[in-house]
Amino acid sequence: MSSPAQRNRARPWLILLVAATCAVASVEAAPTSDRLLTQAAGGADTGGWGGDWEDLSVSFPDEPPSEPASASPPPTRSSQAPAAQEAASPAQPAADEPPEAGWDWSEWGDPKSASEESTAAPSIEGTPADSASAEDAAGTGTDADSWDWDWDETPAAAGAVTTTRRAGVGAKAASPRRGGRTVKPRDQRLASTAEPDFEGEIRAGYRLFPGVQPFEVIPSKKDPEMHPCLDCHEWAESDRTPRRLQEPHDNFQLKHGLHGKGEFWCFTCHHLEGEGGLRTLEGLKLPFDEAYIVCSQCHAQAARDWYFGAHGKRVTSWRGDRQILNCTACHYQHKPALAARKAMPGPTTRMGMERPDHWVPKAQLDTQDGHKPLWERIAERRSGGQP
Amino acid sequence: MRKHRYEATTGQADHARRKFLKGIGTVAVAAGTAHGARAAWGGETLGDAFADFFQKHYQRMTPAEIQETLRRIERKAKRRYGVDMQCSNTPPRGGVVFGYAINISKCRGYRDCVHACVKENNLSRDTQYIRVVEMPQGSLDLAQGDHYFEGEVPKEGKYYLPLQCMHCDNPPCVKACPIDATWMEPDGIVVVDYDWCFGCRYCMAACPYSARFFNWGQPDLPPEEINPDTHYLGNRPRPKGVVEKCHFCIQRTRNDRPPACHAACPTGARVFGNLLDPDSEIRYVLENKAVFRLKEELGTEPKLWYFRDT
Repeated sequence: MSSPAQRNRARPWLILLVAATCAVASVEAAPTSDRLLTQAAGGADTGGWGGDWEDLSVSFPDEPPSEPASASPPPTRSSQAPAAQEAASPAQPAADEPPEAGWDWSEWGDPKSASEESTAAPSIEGTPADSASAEDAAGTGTDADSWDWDWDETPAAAGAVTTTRRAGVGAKAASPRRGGRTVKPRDQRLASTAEPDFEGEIRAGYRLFPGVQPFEVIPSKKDPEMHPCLDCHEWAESDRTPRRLQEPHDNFQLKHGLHGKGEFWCFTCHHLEGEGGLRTLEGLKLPFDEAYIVCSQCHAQAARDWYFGAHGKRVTSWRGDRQILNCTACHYQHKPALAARKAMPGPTTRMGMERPDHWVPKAQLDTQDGHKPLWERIAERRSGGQP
Repeated sequence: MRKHRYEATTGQADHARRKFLKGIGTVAVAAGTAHGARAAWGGETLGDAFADFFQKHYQRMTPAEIQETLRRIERKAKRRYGVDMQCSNTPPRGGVVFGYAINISKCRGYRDCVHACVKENNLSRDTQYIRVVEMPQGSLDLAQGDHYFEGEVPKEGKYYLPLQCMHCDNPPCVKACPIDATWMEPDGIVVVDYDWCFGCRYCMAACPYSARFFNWGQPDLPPEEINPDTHYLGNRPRPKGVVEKCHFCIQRTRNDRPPACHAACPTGARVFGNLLDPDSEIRYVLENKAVFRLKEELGTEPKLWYFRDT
């Protein structure tokens, strides 16, 4: 009996010791971005993240280089989604690398460079990936305004999500990480393309929040009943002046924060060209599956948490490919507040005991009507019933 | 008169003897056939009954013995519930220690996690591993929490605190067990060997979070709702008289899937991941959010954290 006991109690300490040793060794031996690699090499089992860590732990091209030779970093693109970028800038010092070396903060808010970039940036309307995304995976996506997704998704069902588009750089350079070790390091991919995919970087949040891990967004179903705009506006001219919507739009209610008060309205987030879609405040046209970029213009803290995984939900697996739900999977975009719902049944009491209709915790009973605290009752008892 | 009494007594003796012989015969039939109907060992074969009796501790079994035990567990489930169950023995993955974080700003008390857990883990229908407590806002006093809230949630002035096994890194339940029937796996999951536990319930007394549950009777498990994907240390059907607890859905998480409560949560309040991976979501939460643990002063080092949005 003693040998399993000793083994059991030794194991957690052994793991912690090994992990701590690996961490210390990696910090000493390698730069910060190579911690993963070192730890993967230090782990006894390669069945963890395996070789993917090695591939993913490359530095970003815009990060301050370690050697002082390249003192002039590539120009920072601030053309897209400036609101989210500005909101993200206070969070920059939280990144691993200190931003002092070769990092020009003034470039974030430089309007001149922004205008140059916006003219130089190619239009990303009609990105080839968004055409097949929503329709094909409609069966596996989640409904925008209902909770009825199958929580018990199996790995087999997750395989059907392969039509999802990889956000970011994957839009141009296909990166099948599903096979495991075939992904290219990001600097190689960027070096192989003539034009660095800065829109992709921004879309995937790498530029806004350095350190974001690659992810895929589960595409949402198209809901034609909720979005019948193009039924008429395919041929009808739309009045673009912001106003309170009248007939025949009065069946549509917008309950999104300030939206109902006339601050925002349809064309704040939508455009009607082509198939229709979303637009940012700056006019960048986006498919519906990239609603998170539109949302992140205002909800910056939630967006940061969403990119890093503290907000929203990762589905299918806790390791490997990061497949996360879009904002609109949980929040109905025109009425984002979650509605109250009936709770599922609670626990039963122990066998033979009846549960009271309304159970009041004892701690509350003691301080509520008629029930005095213990010390007052003791004082009463000692004084012979006199209060 | 005397003769009559004599006959009566002999008759009773005869009856008892016939019953005894009948029992012996049934045992013999059960031993001879693989599917004895209602024999002395609850329908088991003699070989299975002996193997059950002499089954070793999980950590002391050789791989061959473990495989034999798993097949025996599947046969037992087939006999008792009529389901074709796959009982696995997926080992822990290297370099992984599981951690969990729950956002109490997001939890709205729907109890979807509770019932997903019940279905996934083949729980007796009067047991729930997760208890969502309705707490008054501004307080962390668990004595003021209501376990039995009903109706529309969330309610005004309340927040919701899901409680489950914290998978302590310094687990008092493991220390309390006199026979090492419960231990912490290398990936941080505190598990129970249901065949080794004899139900003294010391661990239940030792657990500060009331996260362990005792099977007072045969688990009330509808055969048509059994989840056939099981694990030896996880959700295989438990016998009467043993202690069970949350095991982070070991049959799912060791196959890279999220726990059932995580998958069922409709608000995204739950974050699950590998504590040793610096890029995991759980590490982001622990490093960037205001987190706390329940009863941290006890030094049990829970691996389940709570955090808020702000």
